[in-house]
Amino acid sequence: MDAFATLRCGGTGSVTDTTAGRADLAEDNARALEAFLASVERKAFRIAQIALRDADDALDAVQDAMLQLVRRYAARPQPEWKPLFYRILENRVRDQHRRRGVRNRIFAWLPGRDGDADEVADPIAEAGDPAPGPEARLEAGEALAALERALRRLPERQRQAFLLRNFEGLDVAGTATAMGCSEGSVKTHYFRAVHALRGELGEFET
Amino acid sequence: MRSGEESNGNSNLERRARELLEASAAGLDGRVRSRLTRARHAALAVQRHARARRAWLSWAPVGALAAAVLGALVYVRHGRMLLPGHTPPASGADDLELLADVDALPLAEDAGDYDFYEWAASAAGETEAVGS
Repeated sequence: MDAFATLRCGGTGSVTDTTAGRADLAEDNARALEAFLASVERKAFRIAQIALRDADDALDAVQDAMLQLVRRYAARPQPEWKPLFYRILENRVRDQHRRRGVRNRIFAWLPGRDGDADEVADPIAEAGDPAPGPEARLEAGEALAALERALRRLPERQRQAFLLRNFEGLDVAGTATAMGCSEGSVKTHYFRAVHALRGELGEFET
Repeated sequence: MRSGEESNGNSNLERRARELLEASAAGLDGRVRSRLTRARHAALAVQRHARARRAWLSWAPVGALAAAVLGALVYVRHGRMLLPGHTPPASGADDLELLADVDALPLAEDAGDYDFYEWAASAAGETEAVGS
């Protein structure tokens, strides 16, 4: 049949060449996506953990964010991946907070549970960093714990702006995309966060 | 934006905070690193499956065209069968329908009954001819 012959030949070009080219692009995209996720997963986990104060909840949030990025935004230009990924992560963190609020209200009547997670031991924060010497590690561990306490006391938007700009290294435009606000708001939130942290930690001299 | 409401990220506080947080990210324990790796692989597997599904669906228009051509052939053949003067050949389905008809007269094995039925049929034909 003529129709089938036309489809086989793909008109003017070769279907095989076009299909192979598309497969190569898809493979390149997959490799780039894997490299991107590997580059952000640790910092994303720490950002989520500081917000949620729980390693398992943070891991769930990061896993969800990875899945959503791959499902919805893998075809977007690569420079957009990081802001989009953190936007999704922030939404997941917010969802976890809401779920936790419901859970705490339901189980608040159980003996021994007061729903206050402020004093929950944080093994990651207490582990310290791999600096030489036990005294240096202890000092770094204490400094990190103090920083995390101060960060958790910040309003949510200030904490987001500080961690995305200072820790993750997003520029103002990328941070605005991740936070869903204007660049001016990002600068304001960041400035106020630094001011509040300085008030609580001093200049954090080494 | 008021002057001064910006930070260049280089104050002692900002530098020290960044160092501590980066060190904590680099020093994650094995359990957390393993979970993150598995999460990454699971997300990429989803993408691979989606790609494979899209490749399979890209052949759907060809299948639809083939089905349309087949349907047209069947329609044309069936249409020819319905033209005036065209007697569709007897099909086995008619015989099956006759056998399955519970209200049908039972097939008699006695030869004498066949003679009766033949007489009855010819008598019915004569009656119709008179009445028309």
